[in-house]
Amino acid sequence: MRLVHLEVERFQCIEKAELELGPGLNVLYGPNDLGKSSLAWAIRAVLLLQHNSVVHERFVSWCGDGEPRVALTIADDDERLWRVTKTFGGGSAGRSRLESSRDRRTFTTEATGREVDDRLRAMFRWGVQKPGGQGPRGLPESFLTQVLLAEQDSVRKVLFDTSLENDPDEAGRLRMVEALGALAQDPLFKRILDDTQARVDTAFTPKGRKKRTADSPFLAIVNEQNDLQAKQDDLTRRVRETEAADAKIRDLASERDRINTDLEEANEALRAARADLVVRERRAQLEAQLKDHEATIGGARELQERIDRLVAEGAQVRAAASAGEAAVREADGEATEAERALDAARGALDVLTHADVEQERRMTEVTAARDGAMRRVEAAERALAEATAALKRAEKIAAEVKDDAAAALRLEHRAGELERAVATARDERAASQQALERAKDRVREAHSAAKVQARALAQKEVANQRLQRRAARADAEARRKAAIEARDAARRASDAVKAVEAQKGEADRAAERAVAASAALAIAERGVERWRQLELVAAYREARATAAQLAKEEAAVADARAKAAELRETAATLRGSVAPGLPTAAEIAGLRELHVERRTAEARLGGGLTVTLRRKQPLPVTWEADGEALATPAGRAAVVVVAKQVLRLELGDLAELEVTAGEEDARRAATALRERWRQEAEPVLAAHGVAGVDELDARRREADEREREADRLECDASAQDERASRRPASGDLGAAEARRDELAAELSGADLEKLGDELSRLGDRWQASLKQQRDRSGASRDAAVGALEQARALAQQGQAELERLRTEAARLEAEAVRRGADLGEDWATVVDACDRALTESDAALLDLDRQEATLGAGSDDDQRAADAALRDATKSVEACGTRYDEQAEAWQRAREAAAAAASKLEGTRARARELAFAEEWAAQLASSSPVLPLARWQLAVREATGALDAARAVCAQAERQLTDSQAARAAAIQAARGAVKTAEEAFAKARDLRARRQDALKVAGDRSHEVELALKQAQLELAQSNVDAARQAATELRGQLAALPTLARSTDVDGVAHHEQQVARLTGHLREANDDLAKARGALEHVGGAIVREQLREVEQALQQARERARQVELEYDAWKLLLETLRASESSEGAHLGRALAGPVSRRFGELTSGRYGNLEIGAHLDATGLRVAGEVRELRALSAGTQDQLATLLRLCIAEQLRSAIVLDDHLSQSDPARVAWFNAVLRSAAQHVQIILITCRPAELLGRDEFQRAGEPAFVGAAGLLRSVDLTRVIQRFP
Amino acid sequence: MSRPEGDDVALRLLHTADWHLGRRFPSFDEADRTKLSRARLDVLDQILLKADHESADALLCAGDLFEEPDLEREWWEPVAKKLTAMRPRPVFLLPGNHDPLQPGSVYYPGHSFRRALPPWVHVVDRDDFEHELKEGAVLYACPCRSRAGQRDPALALPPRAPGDERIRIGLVHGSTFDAVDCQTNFPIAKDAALLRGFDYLAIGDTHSFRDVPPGARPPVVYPGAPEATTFGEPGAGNVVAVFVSQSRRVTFRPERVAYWTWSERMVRSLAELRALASEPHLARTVLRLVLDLRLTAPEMAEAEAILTELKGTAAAHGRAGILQVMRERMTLDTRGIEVNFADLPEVVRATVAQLQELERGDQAEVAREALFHLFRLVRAGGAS
Repeated sequence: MRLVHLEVERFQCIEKAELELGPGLNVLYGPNDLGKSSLAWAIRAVLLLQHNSVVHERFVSWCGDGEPRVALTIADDDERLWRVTKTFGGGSAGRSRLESSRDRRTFTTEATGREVDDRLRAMFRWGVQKPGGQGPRGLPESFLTQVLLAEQDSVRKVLFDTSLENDPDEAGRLRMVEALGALAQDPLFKRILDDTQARVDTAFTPKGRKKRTADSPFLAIVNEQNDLQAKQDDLTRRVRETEAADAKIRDLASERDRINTDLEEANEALRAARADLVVRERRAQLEAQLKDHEATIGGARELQERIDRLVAEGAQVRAAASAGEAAVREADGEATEAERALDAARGALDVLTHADVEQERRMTEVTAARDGAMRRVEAAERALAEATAALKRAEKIAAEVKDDAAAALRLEHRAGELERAVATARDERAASQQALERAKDRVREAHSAAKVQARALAQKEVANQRLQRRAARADAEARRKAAIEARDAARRASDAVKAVEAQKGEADRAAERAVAASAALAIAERGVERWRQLELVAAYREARATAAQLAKEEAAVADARAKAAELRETAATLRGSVAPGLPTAAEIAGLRELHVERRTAEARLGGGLTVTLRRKQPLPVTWEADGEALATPAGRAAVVVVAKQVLRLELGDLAELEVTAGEEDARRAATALRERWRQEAEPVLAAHGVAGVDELDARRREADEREREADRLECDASAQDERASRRPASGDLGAAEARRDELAAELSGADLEKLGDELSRLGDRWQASLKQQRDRSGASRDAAVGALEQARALAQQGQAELERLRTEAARLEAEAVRRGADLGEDWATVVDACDRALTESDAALLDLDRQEATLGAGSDDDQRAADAALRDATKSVEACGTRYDEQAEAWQRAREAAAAAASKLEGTRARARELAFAEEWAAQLASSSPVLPLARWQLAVREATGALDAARAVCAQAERQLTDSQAARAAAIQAARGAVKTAEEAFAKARDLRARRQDALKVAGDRSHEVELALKQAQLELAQSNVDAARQAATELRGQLAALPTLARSTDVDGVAHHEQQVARLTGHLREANDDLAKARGALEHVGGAIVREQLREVEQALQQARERARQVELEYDAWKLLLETLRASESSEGAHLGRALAGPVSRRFGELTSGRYGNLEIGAHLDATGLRVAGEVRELRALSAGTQDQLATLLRLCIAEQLRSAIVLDDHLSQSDPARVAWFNAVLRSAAQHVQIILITCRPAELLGRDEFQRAGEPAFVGAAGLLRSVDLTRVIQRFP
Repeated sequence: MSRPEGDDVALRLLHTADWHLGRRFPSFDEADRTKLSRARLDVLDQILLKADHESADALLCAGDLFEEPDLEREWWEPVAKKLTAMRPRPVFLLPGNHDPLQPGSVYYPGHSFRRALPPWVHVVDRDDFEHELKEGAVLYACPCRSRAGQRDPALALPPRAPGDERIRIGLVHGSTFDAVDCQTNFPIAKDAALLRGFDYLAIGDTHSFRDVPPGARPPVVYPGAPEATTFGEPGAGNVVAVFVSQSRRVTFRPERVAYWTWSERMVRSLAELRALASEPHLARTVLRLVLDLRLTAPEMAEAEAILTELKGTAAAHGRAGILQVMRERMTLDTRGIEVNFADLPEVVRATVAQLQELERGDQAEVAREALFHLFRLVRAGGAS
């Protein structure tokens, strides 16, 4: 800091002074009593003293008026100018202003008044006390003010009476520590301190606050924390929303589940109620059905009893009929037996007769056949003999051929011959073959002739017998056939009768079915009628209910309309009761405001009046205080009247006095307000007969309330009208009533109560049930009609068939009678006789067959013998064939040989003529027979001849037997004729008996038929009653009734309706709950859910870490700060450092000044000079001379100013120094002026300035030493008061 | 689980989820955030390579592929490029609860991301999404349309029709029945896969590999995030290779694709810290050290030096890939600390004594820290 410019006005003796100050040594010189010290005081006062301090009085000029004024311009270390201007004085006279200028031209006010001193105090840090503090009055002082601005007579005070310890503020100490500390710091400590300071400076301002600038280490982390905190807050809010949504969903879901449960329970209750109702109705229905079935069973029981009686009667009748039938059968048996005996006798007779004639004729034929056969046997024998002979010749020829062939072979050389021989052999072979075939044919002819002959002989007799028997049998069969035809005719007639009966039964059954169908039809029609009635009842009930409902609704409409009219009437009454012309609420508020204003204005008048009247003569006086008349005592006594605002006094006829309280404005205001009140409020209040605004307001509110009530009533009326208008028109009621009456008329006579009960049993679904039952009954009726028509058609068909069968039966019966008449006897007897004859004939034929077989057997033997012979012959022929084949093979070989010899044919052709012999020989061979062994043929022929003889013998025996049988037959015929006669007599008796018994049987049959008809009728009725079905149905119904659950509670339709309402209500609640749940879920989808929680966790973690980092950073820099403070404190506590630091340069300079005479200066921790160390001992400073003390003090002050780099004011500091020391000091000061500004005020400038260093005339100052020396003649600067 | 014989495999799938592209990591400093964010994108290359290696018939991506539904171009554009450059293979992208299908989301029709995708990449943008993976195998999927919801996405898929013998794969995103807050985060019922007749239900949401419940048939599998997103995700870093046999027997196995390993370590002594610092493979580790230490000043200085070595400086890479240090329980033991200042000037010793005095008062922690500052300054001054 250095002083730049000083202006002083009216300060002590100085009227005005102004001077510029240089940066180095400024020597301000002038004679005594010029006012030099006043300048020093002016500098001290402007820097240290408040403008209104009482001390200023010492600065007031003795000569002139006006307050002292000082303006000092200062340059700080940054060369910024600060101008302090103070006008000292009390009250408004004193002023302070602090201005600054960076351009050194224009100044800006920085502070005024007391703040100026605060700013200066902070700027200089001299350790002076705070203005207005508890310190001593007067000019504020401190160690540094003493050092830098000491008064002329206080030069030595810095050595003895002052130290930093006495400073009222630590600022001076700290400044000294800052300034002097570096002088004695350890390098390591200094580095530590600097590093620490650097760290602290990065985080804190010089005032120790945390930096908020961009380079602050706190800023980034704080910003990060803030960002994260904002995110956390946002996410927390969203999580809360999520949780709220979640909780709401849970609650709603729980509520929905609860409603669901309630709904299920309600549904269950409804189902149970419905089931109970169904059970109840079902029970009633079943009981009714059971009752019907029990009635049916009762009727059936009666029918059954009737049937039982008829059955018993029928059994008796049938027993009688059975007995009659047995008797008829017995008679029939007897008649049949007789008839059979008759037939047998007749048959036997006829058979015998016919057999005898036929047998004769057959015998003749057999004999003739036998003779023919015998002739063919003989012819066969002859042919056989011839064949045998031919065979022999053939054998001979063959032998010869063989020999010739051998000769031919031997005659090889005769090829021509051989060729011919071969041709001949071929021819012979063919001839032989033909001969063989012929022989075979002859053998076969002979064989068959023999066989036929033998068989004819054997069969002749048998055939005769068979013919006879067959004739007899054919006759019997013819008779039998006739009898059978008659019987069949009778049977057909009987069958026809039975068919008629059957058809009649069928017709009866058809009639029964028709009856049943008719009954069913009747039932079905009754059912249809019943269901129709039920429908009518239902329709009637519905129409009745509809009519009732409509009537009820119409009544409700009428009620609603009446209610609406009533409500409207009430509303009108209410509106009528409201006084017309009531002010509105706003108007009342205005009146109320006016009232308040008036009251307020009047209250302002309430100052209180007291009037004392002292009558000097009797005088009638009338008082009125605040509008209230007061009684006045007569006489001359003083009267004291007290009023608040207005006091009216009437003094007889003399005068009238009105005293009004309050100021004029208030009175006028009150009067105006009263006038307004009279004009605006009172007419309204009077019109409505109320005393005040409150009452009027109450009226208004009451009127409003009535209006609202009237509006509400009209709304209700409108709602009633709306409801009434929504109801159906009354015309519907008429139609419903007409329909009801129409149905009632249609149902007249019906048991409505019963039908209604029945309808009720059908339950809620009666319409469907009715339709179903009606359809079912209709279908039953249709089916019954169909069945009836079908039964009728069948009955008609049966009747026609019955008639046809009756006709056919009559025809057949007639035919049977005719056939019986043709037979001449009873057909059964004829048939039996024929059967017996046939049996006998069959037996005879069998016998003949056996005989024929016997005959056949003998012939077969012969035949077999002949066959055997033939087979032998065949074998022989085959053997011959074989041999022939062998020969043929040989011939083949020969031909081959001939072929071989053919080569030689040409050679032998010449000898062809010689072959004539061979040709002749070959002709002989051609006449010969084939070669066969005939011996066996001869033997076979002999055997066949023997067998033929035997057959002949048998034929003869049969002829004998035939003769015998003829005789026996004649005897049998005679006997048979007698038996026929006896049998005829027995047969006639049996037929009579049978006829009688058949009559009796017919009577019994008629009765049985009647009983059966009655029985069938009863059974039909029983069947129609369908009792079994009824019993079964009854049993089932009882079972169903028993199976029906027992109802623990009584449930009716209303109960079910209640449950249905409950279910409907809960269903509505459930729907609402589901809607709410859906909304809540929709809300949840927008709040974030798990993501927000996840992000929140992440941000919380990040925030926690950021906080931890912030804590670490804060801790780190707090630690740096603490370390710095601690380092400073330690450094400060080491006060010796300041003393030592300062003692060094002071002692050095003092040593130079005193030539080392006094040793080094000892300075204490508080910069208190404790003494001089001389030869190891510390001596007191007071022992020094006054001049030396001054010199030492000046050196100390100068050194401190140098360390502080602050201006220093030295006011005649070396007044007691010798010139040599002054000169020394002069040099020191000039040297120090290089670093610090020195304001030196002196009255002896010659000791300090050279000749040319004085201010010259016309110049504001002398400036030399490169601007570091400036001398000013104060006589030119200070303008003293005259 | 072993892979079935080659001839028997009817369908090969690679199942992944929870890429969380664009995720910030506010707990880490800026440089580490960048590393971790980029790792989400880098791991896509590993996933696509794995799909090639397994010859997958399709790549199923079960939601939360993006951290937000409407991320900047810098996140979705590289994805589109990688999917375009891959060997063509059906890829199915499913919107999850982090990136729901909403107007403005990257999946929404008309978004530039959709236009940038190649034809073999299918976005599940319908509730009735159905795609034939190959003959006899069909995929059903249902997207998330909001950040939270109570609808079961698996039960929203159609059930197996009678007589349908195809391989049915389900693809949804949500929380299984055993998860916290599952009721508000698209809950997936325990028997959803069984009810809907799926042979494999591919799901996404949690970041650790899990089959839910373990060994269940049909399998319901979370592949987990291919790169972990925080500490405490032990099963993260995988995709799942799925094999379905001709007889519809399903096997699957997790396949590691992550670059980073997340590790949280508690250190209770300086020796442990020294040992940890010498461990290998720290360069690919996201390391969180929780220091529970009470150290003297020299030890503390050594510990700080080790931590600096692990963390790295502006001039040198740290030994750990990413380091996060929790120092709440790391304290300085100041007993006898004055010994370290014995030879120093009085003023320094006086400062130490004064700080020790303060340490016994209200400013204990600050005073302790100041002592350590002073210790380091003195040591630094001595060294220089």
